[in-house]
Amino acid sequence: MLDFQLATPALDRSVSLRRQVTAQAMQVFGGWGYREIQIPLLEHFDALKQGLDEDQIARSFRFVDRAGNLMVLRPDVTPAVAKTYAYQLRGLPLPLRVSYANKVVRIERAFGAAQVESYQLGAEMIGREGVVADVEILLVVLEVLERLGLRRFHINLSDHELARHLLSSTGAPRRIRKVVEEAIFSRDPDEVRRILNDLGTRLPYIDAISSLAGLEGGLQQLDWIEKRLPTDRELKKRINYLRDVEGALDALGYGKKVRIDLGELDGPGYYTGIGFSVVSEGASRRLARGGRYDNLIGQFGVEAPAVGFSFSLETLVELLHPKMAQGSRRRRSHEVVAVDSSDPTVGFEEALERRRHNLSTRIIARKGDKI
Amino acid sequence: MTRDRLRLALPQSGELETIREHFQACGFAIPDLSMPGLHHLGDPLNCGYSFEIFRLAPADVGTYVEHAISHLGVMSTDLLKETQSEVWRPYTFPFGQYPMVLAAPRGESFASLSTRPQVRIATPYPMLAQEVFAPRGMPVEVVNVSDSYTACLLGLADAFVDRLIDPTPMYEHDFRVLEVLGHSRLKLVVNRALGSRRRIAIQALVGALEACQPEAPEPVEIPFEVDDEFQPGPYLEWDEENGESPVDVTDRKSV
Repeated sequence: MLDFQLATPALDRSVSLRRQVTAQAMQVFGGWGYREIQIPLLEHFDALKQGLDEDQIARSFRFVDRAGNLMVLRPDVTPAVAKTYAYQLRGLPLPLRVSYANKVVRIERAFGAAQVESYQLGAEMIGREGVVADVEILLVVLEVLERLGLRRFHINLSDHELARHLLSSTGAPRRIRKVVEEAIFSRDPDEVRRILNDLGTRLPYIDAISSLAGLEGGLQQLDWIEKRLPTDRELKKRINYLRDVEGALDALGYGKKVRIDLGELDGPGYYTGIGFSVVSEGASRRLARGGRYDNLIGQFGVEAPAVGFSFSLETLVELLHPKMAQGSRRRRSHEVVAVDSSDPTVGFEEALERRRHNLSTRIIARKGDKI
Repeated sequence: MTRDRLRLALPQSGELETIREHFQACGFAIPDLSMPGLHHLGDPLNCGYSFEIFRLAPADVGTYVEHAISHLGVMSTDLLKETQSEVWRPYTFPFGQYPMVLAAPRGESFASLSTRPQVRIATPYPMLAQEVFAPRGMPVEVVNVSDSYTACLLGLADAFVDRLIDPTPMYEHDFRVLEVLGHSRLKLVVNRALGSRRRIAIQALVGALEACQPEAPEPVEIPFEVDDEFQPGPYLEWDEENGESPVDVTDRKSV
């Protein structure tokens, strides 16, 4: 039986920190023209299921309502946004930029327990493809991280299309491709080679695919794969696309923050192009994940390319909390206003004056006070 | 942790001495690990990072690495799967490879186990055991124990799923392997949120480990039930005059 870690907001600074982080992120989203969207937590399973992969369905909470409908608590925001666009927002001028700060409910491993409720802060751009859209999304992510005062983070940039192309070139059945993908994501080149050798895959493809699992990443990873398969046009196209995205970010001064890392392939099955994750050495889990999903909205009947990302609010707060808590301890002595119960007016006037200037204020009762 | 250190967790297991020798061959002056705590090793790879080594219970290594308390560790894939640790595995050690087997007392088969209303499987790997039997539709009760042999010998379980390190106890207790479920391998495990500089240092470590690989040991012999048919077993004759029990006449024939 799973040990459910139910959402129990602690009565400490993490609660206000959540609100601050959310406000700052939403402000950045708004600044880039992403309008906030509200989507329901409770969905009809049949209406949402075509946007969910097997793993997401397995981790979701489903139940039958009083009318006999199978319902699901939203396990991921992006498919719900895709459905909302296809059913309600189609016809609006494109590109459509939306943002959200929403709860998701799903079984998720976190510190040995199965975290059920978590919050995602994210943005999606619907109706535009190409380098401009992909770079814009990454710039929004970078600004949020900068605005939150984070310094030690990296964005690992990969390409799901490139990996999928290489894997399908092996002719391996879907189940085996999935196992190889998992080995790539686990950065286990030996396992990738073992599986592909057993399949009888040609050596240049074994070399190229196992190099996706390499630790170092960087542009040299692209060069190396290109050299192994110089005649593969589709591969070259994807490699050049990634070079363009990386080059644009490098020219904008983010070269050290964004690195090519072709093994960063986990995540939901709907990603079709670039994929990225934000990591920081101080956090045990990724801070954000995103990518291009050009076929997801089509699952709901309207074809539209899209790209987006979501931050994990819990991980951001986990990372920021110690820093903020230290800051709060330093400030505390300046916040105290003593109020005497025999003549509380003076003390409270001082407190009100401080609050008019938006200064933090804590009331303490003076010695001898009856309260 | 300071930025110029790499912390390595080693498992307190049967392979610890072999792991230690492998790292020593790469220039790591590893002290006696029976002493608890962190052991500082300097920068044996000249990669700009000094190494700190400590030992842990084998099943805990993945948790420490996943939560960035240790940057690196050594852990077997059976435990990685069981603990579901989300870590990278950039290097496979040439030793520490063992078959994961389903075994039962000699004479049992999959068919004979299937006929029982409820089969009890003893294992230190309950998740793996569930994964094996769930798709087959066999109603099994998985009993989580650390000593599978005792569980089966004393009747707690009908069969067991475990790592086969040495076939001798299996012969001694008259158990046979019904199926090899996979192989457990020993991996260098790495935290997934490392920055570029640390990744380069770890790549240098992987390169050093690959360059100084010891020879892989012989694969473990797997005692299958079917192999018994080809073994020179006891010659049995029916004693029709004195009783119904078969009589071992091996010695008579060899004379």
